Amino acid sequence: MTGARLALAELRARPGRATLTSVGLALVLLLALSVTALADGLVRGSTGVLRALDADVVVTDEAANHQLLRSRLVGAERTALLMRPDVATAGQIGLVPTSASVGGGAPERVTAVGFSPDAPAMPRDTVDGRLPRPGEPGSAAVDVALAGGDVVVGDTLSLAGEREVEVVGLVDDASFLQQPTVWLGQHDWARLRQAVQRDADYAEQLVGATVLQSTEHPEAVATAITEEHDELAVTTREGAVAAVPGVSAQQVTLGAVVAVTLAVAVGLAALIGVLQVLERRALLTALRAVGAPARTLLASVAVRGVLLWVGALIVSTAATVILATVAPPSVPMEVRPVIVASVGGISLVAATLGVTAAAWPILSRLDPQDAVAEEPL
Amino acid sequence: MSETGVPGDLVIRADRVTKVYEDGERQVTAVDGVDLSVHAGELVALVGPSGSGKSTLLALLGALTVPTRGAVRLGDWDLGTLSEASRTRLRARHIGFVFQAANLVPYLTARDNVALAGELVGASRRASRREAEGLLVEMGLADRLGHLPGALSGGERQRVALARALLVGPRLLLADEPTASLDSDRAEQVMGLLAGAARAEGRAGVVVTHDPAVAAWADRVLWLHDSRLVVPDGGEERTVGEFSRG
Repeated sequence: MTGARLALAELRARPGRATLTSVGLALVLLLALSVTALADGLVRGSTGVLRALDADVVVTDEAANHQLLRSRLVGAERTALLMRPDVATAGQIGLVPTSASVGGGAPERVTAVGFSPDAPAMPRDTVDGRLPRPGEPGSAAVDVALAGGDVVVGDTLSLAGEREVEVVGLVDDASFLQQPTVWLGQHDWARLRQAVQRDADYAEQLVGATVLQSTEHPEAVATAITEEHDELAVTTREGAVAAVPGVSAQQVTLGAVVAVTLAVAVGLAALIGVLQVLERRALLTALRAVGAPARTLLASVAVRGVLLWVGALIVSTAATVILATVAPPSVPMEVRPVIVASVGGISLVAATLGVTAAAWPILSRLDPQDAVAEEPL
Repeated sequence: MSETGVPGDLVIRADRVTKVYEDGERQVTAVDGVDLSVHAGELVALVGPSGSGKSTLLALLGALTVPTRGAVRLGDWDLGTLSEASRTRLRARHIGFVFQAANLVPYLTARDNVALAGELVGASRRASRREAEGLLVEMGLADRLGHLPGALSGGERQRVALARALLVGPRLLLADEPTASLDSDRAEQVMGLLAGAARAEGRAGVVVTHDPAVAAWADRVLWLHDSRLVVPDGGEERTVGEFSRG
C-alpha cells in the first residue's frame, strides 16, 4: 500500500509530467491500436459470410481446398453427410461474384450467396426484415454495408444489370472479400449464376460448399470426414476463415506490425521506468536507508507505470475511435471493445512486467550506505 | 549522559570493527579496529577530517553496511549476521536517520513524509499521520504540516527529517552532518531538538560532523583519523570542553 500511495502522491504532485509521459506512450499505442483495428476490419470484412452462418464445419471439394469461391460441390453431397451420426444438420451455399445497384444507383461489386433453407446455411440474424422464403423468387436479403449503408427493406436491387430483386431483409457483418453480400434463394441464385458465368448451365442445386453443424468436436468431425472422403476438403469454420484469400497473409503481416509496435511501446515504458528510478536514485537510496524495502519502492515504480499506461490507453483509444470515425469507408478500421481490451490488457501486463524487470536490478542494488555523504577514503 | 550523569543501558557497541572496501585491485580500509560503546541518554559526536572514516562508521552503526571484521551490536542483535532484509526491518523500527540533505520525498507533505516512517513498519496511515502531526507541532512546525518540502526552509526540512527519524521511537538516532547546509541560528535550533531527542526515552545518539559548534552539543566527542579512533594520552577521549559552542 505504501508503494501505491507513493506512486499516487507523485502523480498528483506532478500532473503535467505524468500527462506528458502518458501522451508520449499514447502515440505509440495509437499506432498499435489503429493497426490492430485495421487488421481486424480487413479480416472481418473478408470473412463475414462464414461468421454469419451457424455452421461449425465447412466442406468443399478437394480441389478447392477449403476456399468457398472455388468449390463446386452440389447439394447431393450433403445427403450423404447428413447420414453421419456426428453431423446434426447440413446446408448448402453457393457464391457468385457480381455487381448490384440500389434504386438505379451506380453498381458496386458484391458477392451473391445462394443458400438452402437449412439452419447452417442461413444467416443467424437479420437486423431488419427477413430472409427470402423457400420458393419465393425475386427477393433478397442484403448486407447493410451495401450502398454505403443506405439500403432499406423494400428497395429494388438490380443484380449484374439483368435481374431485379426486392430487398426483404437486412443482415449485418456478412461481407465477403471486402464486398457486401446479397442472399438469394436457389432459383434466383441459379439464374444469376447463369447470367454472370456465361458457360454455366442453370443449376438445379446450389453449387458451392456444404456447411454442417456437428454433434462432436468440429475438428474431430472434419478429420473423420476427410479420412473417409478423398474427394472432399473438410475443415472447421476457423479453418475456412483462414483459407479465405489474403486473410492469413493479412493476419501474419499486420500481427507482426502490431507485435513490433507493442514491443517498442513496452520497451519505451521500461526505459521511462528506468530513467525515473535513476533520476530519483538519491531519494530512493535514502528511503532504503530509513527502512523502505526494495519491494516497496518497486511497487511504487510499478503502480506509477500502470497508471501512466492506463492513461495512455485511454488517450490512444479515444484517438483511434476518432480516427476510425473520420476515415473514409474504404478504410476498413473496426474499433471493437474486444480489440481495445485485448491490446490494452496484453500491453498493460507486458508494460508492467517490462517496467518491473527493468527497474528491479537497479532498485535491488541500491546501497543504503550511499545515503551518508562521505566516500570511503 | 542521562540527566543523572549515570550511564544508561548500553544501546550500541562496536568491537574491533573494521571495514575494508575493494577498489579495483586495491583494498581500502575505511574503518580500522574501532571500539565504541554508546549508552542510553548519551549523544556522541564523531569528528575528523574528510576521508577519516566517520561516515563509514556511522553506516556500520546504522546497519547500512556490515563490518568486514569485528562486530556491531545493537541491543541483542549482531548487525553483521543479519540478512539484508532483516537489517532493513531493523533500521525501520529501531534506528532513526537524519541526513545532511534532508532527503524528504518531494511530493509528500511534511506530515506525510513523517507518517511514511510509521507506514514502513506497518502502522496505519491514520495513526501515523496523527503521530506525525504531534511530532511536527513539537518541532515548531504546526503551520507547515501540509507543505511540500520545496516550500520549506532548510531548517524546517531538517526538523521534518528529525520528526521522521523519531516517529517510531527508535533506540538509536544517527545524524550525518545534520546542519551542514544551515546558517548558525537554524543549526542551533536543529541541534537543540536533535540533542534533546537523542537523550530522551532511553535513546542514544551519534552525530557525524565537521562543525565544532555541533560537536559541542555532544556528551562525548570521538576523533577519527586515518580510519582509527584517536585516543588522547591516558586513554581519555577528548571532551566537549575542547570545543567551543561557536
